[in-house]
Amino acid sequence: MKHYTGVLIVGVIVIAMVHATATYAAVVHASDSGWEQDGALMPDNLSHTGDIRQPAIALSDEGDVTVVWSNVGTVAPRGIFAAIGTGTPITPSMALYLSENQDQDAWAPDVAYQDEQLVATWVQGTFPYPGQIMQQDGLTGTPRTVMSPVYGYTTPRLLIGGDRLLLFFASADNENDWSKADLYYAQRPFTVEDWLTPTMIITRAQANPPYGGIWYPHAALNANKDTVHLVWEQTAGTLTMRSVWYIQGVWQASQQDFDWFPPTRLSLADKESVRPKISVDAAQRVHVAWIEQQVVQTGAGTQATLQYVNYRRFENEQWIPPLEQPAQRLDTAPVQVNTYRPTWSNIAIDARGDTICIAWHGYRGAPGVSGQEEILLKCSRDGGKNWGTQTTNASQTPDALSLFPALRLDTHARIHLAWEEHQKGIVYTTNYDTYYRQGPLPRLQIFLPLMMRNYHD
Amino acid sequence: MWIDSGFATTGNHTLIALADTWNQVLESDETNNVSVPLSVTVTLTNPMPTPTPTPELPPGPRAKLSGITYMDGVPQSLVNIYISDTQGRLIWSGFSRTITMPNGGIIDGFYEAELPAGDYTVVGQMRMANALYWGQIIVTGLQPGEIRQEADINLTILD
Repeated sequence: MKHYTGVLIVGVIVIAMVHATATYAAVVHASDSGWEQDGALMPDNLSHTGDIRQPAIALSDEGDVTVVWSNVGTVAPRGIFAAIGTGTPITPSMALYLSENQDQDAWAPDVAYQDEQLVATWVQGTFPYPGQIMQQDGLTGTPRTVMSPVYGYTTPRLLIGGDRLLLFFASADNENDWSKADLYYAQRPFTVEDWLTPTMIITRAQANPPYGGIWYPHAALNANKDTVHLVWEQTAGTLTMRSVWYIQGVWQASQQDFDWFPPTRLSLADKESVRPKISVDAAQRVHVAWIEQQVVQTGAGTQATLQYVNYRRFENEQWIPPLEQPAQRLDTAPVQVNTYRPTWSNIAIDARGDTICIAWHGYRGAPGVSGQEEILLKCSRDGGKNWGTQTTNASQTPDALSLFPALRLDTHARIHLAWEEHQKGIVYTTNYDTYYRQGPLPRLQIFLPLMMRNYHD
Repeated sequence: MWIDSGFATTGNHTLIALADTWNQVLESDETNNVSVPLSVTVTLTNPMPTPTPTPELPPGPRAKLSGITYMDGVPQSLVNIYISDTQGRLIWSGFSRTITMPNGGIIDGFYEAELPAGDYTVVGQMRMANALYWGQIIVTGLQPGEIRQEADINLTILD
């Protein structure tokens, strides 16, 4: 018998510990823990119509939740619908009709709360263009025209400023140049009925000349509501990689306008980078996440696109990681997306206090395998410094496509999530409903070293 | 079943039907999409049609027109592209495809056509499951030898 004394064996054995009292086994990247075990409620189907697109979500200061989406309607060809949830936990209402135009489609909604007043925006016209950007106060207010016509994938982003509504969007000049959109903002003081004429922030080719177009801008205000932070996906010619750009605007009350800083490229030149989203936390840290696509060969002449969630934050006047370095990957394991409903993984982000949560869609698996997307979720509780190793499966519907998450954090650190959920069948380009799910922050997994002393054999 | 193009020659031919050609429908069994071969014998020959006069095209070096085909905002390969001039004559047709760039990155939905100078209608079309996606743009003032990028086509579902 061998006898070992004084031998200190320090093994770092992975044991999952959770905050509070619960304990469960650690997971590896490829098996994301289910949100249900953190206490999330089961998803609610808000629409039950099987033909929704583009859900967006907003929270009031009182804790009410509103989810809006574009849906084939009974009055209009495609209208904007809403469900309003109240109580604890949130109990959503039935679907309510928000836009009433009987002759035109309506799509790409966004929603926010101005105090307790619901405000919404969408694009209306002949899908996908020409359209006009509309804005409406409340469920039954009179829609106001913000800009007409608009062309391209105009996805207006509605923010509540200190004394006015702000809208940020991209639009091209005409339908033939639909992919070459410029970046705009519009404003309507709370005391004024009509929107002021929109202002162009930068042209489509200004950031990365001579070609290009601006896609999917996303904006966030700081807590003082005097600085807006904008990100977008930038094309720069047919044979050039897409990149993610950022610009900051500071409100000048004397001019009733923003002063814009020069645009900054957040992604590296050799990384295909798409679909950025942005949020600002209570300490004025700016958090940006986007999808980086990486192509891998899966065989002779076949390849697969892996999608990673990239992240940078702007803190104390500097970007972390620095801009010359690769962005931080929030999840070392990539996701993929299917080809029968072509998408790119899409991010949702929100910040409250020091907590930042990011959701995205995709499925796991070896490169090139088929799969069904889930909504994945990751949160930081310290202003973006640490994101942990754990990723949470927030949709938990393995037999259906779950796409395009929208996310909000409430004051009780609960997450409110909405997304498109496929309702089965062989046609994947339609038959989606709006799903809503609420739950707490995913519990932290802490890895503790296990120390073994005076081992005897 | 009707074969628009007919057969080029008389004699024996074999027909095979292929479903879900581009594997766009998720199925429990992806191996049963090919029919058994059907043998047919063609004996009749149609009269030779009168050749259509070759349209006169503008002289000078050709231009290169390139772009990306999109579906729901995502680049999509294997879209049929048809380019017609202002008289409705089909000048070029082909597919958008996936190309690999020198740095190893890929671009989906890329198409490139060599065309005489002029104005054109560029149509993209693709069938996805039971839905037909379609889109078009107008290209004007293409000059001899010009390289024009970003002639992007946005496909939406055709009701």
